[in-house]
Amino acid sequence: MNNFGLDIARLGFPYHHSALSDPCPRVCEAKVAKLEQLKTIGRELAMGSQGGWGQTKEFLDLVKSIGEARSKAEEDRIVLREIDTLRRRLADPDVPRRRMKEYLIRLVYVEMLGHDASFGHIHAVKMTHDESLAVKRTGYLAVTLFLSDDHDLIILIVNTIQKDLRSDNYLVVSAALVAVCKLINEETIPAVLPQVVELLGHPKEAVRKKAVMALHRFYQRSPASVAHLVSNFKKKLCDPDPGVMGATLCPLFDLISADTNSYKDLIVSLISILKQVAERRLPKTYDYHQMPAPFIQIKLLKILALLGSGDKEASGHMYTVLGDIFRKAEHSTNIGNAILYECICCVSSIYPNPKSIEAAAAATSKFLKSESHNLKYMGIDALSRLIKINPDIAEEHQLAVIDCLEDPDDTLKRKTFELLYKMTKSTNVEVIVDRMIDYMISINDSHYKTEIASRCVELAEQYAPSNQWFIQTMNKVFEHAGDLVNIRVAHNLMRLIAEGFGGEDESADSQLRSSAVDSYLRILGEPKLPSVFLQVICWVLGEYGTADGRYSASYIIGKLCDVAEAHLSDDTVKAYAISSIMKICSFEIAAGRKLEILPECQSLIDELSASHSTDLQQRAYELQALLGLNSGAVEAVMPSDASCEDFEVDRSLSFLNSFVQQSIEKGAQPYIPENERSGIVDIGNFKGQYQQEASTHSLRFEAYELPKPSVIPPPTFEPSIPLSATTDLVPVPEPTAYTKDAHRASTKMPSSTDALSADVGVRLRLDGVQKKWGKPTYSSSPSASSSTSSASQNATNGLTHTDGGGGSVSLQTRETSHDSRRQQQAEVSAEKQRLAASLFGASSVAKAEKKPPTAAQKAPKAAAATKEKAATTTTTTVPSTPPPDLLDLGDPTSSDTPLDDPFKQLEGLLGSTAAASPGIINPPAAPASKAPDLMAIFTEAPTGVSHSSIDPGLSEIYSINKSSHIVATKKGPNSQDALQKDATARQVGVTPTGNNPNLFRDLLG
Amino acid sequence: MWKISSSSSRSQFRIRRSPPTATLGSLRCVEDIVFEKNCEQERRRKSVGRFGFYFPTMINFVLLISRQGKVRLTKWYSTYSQKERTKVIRELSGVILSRGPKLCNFVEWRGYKVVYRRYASLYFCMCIDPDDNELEILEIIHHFVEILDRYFGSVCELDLIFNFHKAYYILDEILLAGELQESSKKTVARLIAAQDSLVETAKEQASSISNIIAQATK
Repeated sequence: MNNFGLDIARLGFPYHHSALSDPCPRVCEAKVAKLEQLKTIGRELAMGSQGGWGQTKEFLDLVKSIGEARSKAEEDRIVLREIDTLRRRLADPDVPRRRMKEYLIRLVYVEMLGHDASFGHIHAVKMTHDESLAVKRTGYLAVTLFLSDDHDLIILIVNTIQKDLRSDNYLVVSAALVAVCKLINEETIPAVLPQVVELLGHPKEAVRKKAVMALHRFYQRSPASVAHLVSNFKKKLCDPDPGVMGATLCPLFDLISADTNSYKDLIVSLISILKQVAERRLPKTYDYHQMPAPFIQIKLLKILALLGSGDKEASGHMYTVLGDIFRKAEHSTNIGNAILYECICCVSSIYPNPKSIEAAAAATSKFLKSESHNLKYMGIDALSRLIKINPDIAEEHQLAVIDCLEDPDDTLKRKTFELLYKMTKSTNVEVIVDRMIDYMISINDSHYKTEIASRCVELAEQYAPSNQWFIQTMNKVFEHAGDLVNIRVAHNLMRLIAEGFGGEDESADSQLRSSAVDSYLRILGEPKLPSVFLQVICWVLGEYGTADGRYSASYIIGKLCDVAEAHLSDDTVKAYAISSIMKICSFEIAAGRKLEILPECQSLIDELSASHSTDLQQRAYELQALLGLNSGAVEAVMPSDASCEDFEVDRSLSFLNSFVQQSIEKGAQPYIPENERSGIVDIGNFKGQYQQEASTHSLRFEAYELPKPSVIPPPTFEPSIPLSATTDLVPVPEPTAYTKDAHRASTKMPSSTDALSADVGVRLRLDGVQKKWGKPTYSSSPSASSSTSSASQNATNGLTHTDGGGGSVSLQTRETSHDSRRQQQAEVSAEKQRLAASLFGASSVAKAEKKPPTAAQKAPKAAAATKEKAATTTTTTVPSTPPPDLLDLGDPTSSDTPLDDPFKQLEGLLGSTAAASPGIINPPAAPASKAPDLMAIFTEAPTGVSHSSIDPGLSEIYSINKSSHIVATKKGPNSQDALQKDATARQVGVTPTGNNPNLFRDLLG
Repeated sequence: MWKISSSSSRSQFRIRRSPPTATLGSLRCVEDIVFEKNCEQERRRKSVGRFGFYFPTMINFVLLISRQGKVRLTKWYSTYSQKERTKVIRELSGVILSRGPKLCNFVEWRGYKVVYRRYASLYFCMCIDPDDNELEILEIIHHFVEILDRYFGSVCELDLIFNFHKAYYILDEILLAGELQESSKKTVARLIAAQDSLVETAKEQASSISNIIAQATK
């Protein structure tokens, strides 16, 4: 069966896009029969259209044969033959016009398939001159498809366009306007601009609309050309035809995004338009899937977002209409969601208003909870906009975000990374950057790799918890995407290693350096390293390779020689390597040790002295010269660990003053700077003028300007600096690049305990998040809402959190029957919860972070330190209570959530929309208000239950080790105390946070 | 010739969708999608005004490709050379055709976003700037398909293959300079019908005039 390649199945209409990708299973035989049948229909159809559309057999055969082509090569052969034919036919001087029209369409086809048909472009241009509309239209179509706006043939069309814009047939004018939009460039705008402006008043709305779009295009090409037409756009906004009004929004959007302030007067009218559109005042024909003119609504919302941004007064007008749209929005259709999304964008851009933000957050959570990937994607995007205003909104959607992050869909994953990038803080930077790097390693797309690598670097530079971590992260980034990151990053890394903490702690610095050296020596074993990374490695090895005395000079030199040898084609790496060898040698000489030059090193020096690169030669000779000097001189030339010291370059050469003075006294001529010597005109000025001319190279439509006297700028002459003897031998590139960077703000380095505290204060909000496992329900289970025995209710409820079963089965039966399953699930959920905690826990940790620095801060992550810190955390955050015993720490959270939950369930009865709202405004406050009534319920709960609350540390322990029952039983009697403490803490207004999930692990083993 | 199919007749075709195929058939160069290092330079070739403002066009290009990776229609609103076009099509068809069914209809591609939607065996793709509203573009695609459907009377891929120039005319009435110019299906339909009928009458007139001349000279 041949591969006809033409599929004649109708383009079915997936009105609900979930149906879009629904596979339609078919039996194979049926398929064959059907295809055969379809093929016949296809032929008939093709024949039918032959008559209908006036195409010749030849054309149909071409299309068909290409459709039947089995390979790209065959297709190419057919197309090349066709090009030959067309070339011959077109060369014929008297082709009938109708034939010509078809040839052009064939040319379009050929070019669409990716072949060059430039020989026919001139025929397309000729065809636009034709007086028959059908032919002219084809000509214009071909021209717009063939030519770009910088093509040489454009100038030949301008005249035709001018003529056609004056035609009385509006269809001719329309065709010309379409061509104007595509073809007219900056140089030819003035030729057609007056006519296009005139057409704004054309009686046909189709022409007015296209004229507006053409002006919009002109504005994009050259804003100055239509700057005086702004009032026309404003006028067109009141055009009786909604199509023209809609089109006018395009140029207005561009104008407003360039300059918001001069269009504030439009706000009121734009809002009233939006209101009318939303109230279905526009003709029915603008409805789309039962939504009133959605595309116009979206455009208006985009403009309002621009106008309201940072303007409280302007935003004030918008809240009502935005609220209306939120209320009327339709969640079931794509277009309804598109409007909702645009509303969220608008809300997040204008001056914040709690009510609108609440509505936006509700819409966002609908997106995130949706099954559709498209909506999840939009939800993540919306969330990343909203968290700019209120970071707490993200907390509610922790699990949804993590699900998106782990989704197999790359698009969704990348969007989620974008969100994470925006919500990175010093507390969660480690988790986020690690994730990013993992993902970066896994992809091939170099464009995105570059982007994510630069984001990793940016985050690491901004939030790095410790230098150690920073260096490790940088190593990873360099190793996997080294060729894609900016060289500046490498310089920053070198600077950081050289400067160290910048504090008084010298030993920590040297420790950092030797660990860097260690890691680099290890990494050097890897086969393919990026050039930039090798440069860093060479530099660090040169500076600090032998500093701590663990590695011998010859070992390091040997390694460096290997690097230089392995990268023969990379001069920069070789230069770095040879300079580093020079440093090592000079350190050795200066220290008075005997230095033997390895044979491979000698051969490298010999090779480089004969190199084509003068830079390498210079370095090699410098090294040789250095080897001959005595230790004192070498020490002066190459001081050890002096990369941070500044060179003092005496630019005015003041040390020569006395010499100059003497010479002048002896009768020498004083020096006159070059630009002060007589008769010299400022050359730089000429050059500037020339450049200016070159940049504005275009056709000139206005008269030449009057010549202005050239202004001589103040002399900026600086004498060239002969390098002083000391700087002469210093390897050039690194230190200069280095000192340049030295002025940048040093990276922020919070102490390492911040990183630790990322794990602390785990608090997961599960309410309203769809369950991942079991039946797809939300945390409020249907049976739990009915008032059965409160104890069992609470039991199920507690259970729901860990395994997401969500049924009202009794705890005991479930525990026995689903024991293994649950254990597995608990493991997964624990992992997820940990991730969630490390990502989102940040906000609840924020308070703990502010505690005064303790001595334990710089200590390693030992268990003792953790315990100590946890203790200090609680004492500082809950000042009203006496220092509690350590086991109590887990309780505030574990009691917190079950409390939270029945409340949610009750609310779930009232209305699902309301469920999300109280959590948004102030998450901890809402459950707190209900705390007293529910406390009774909680205390009635069997003691074995409380351990299955969502504290990730706990559930994790549970999954690993059943012995956590001990915890539960121990904790049982304490729960009431804990609750009371919790309540008092809330009354005081402090949330007891900072309970450490690691703590229990540490305690229990 | 102009026929607006009633919604009931359209609905019967709604289910006729070709079976999904895992293999991409004669699709060429899925493997040789090589993202070269210096592809960056072809990215931002868009209009930057004299004063250095940057104006994004909403839609950079429209692409119709079949399941086999054959090009059915291309429309470029930003400037791309022929070579770049070929490369773009090759890369995108590799990316889009290999995507699974339940994933997003959006693909991030070299800093742009490509929104695609599959109708039977045909993929409609539009490349937009990263800040645009993807759902809106998805609906613009659907808007286009609905208009095509009305015009051809429950459109199928063959209609577009043999009458791609008609599809271009229709697209020109919907999108202009990379922006949506008309969101009313009826208005677009009326305009296209007007153009077609005018072409027809022009044709008739021409033939009748030539007949008269022929008769007169006989």
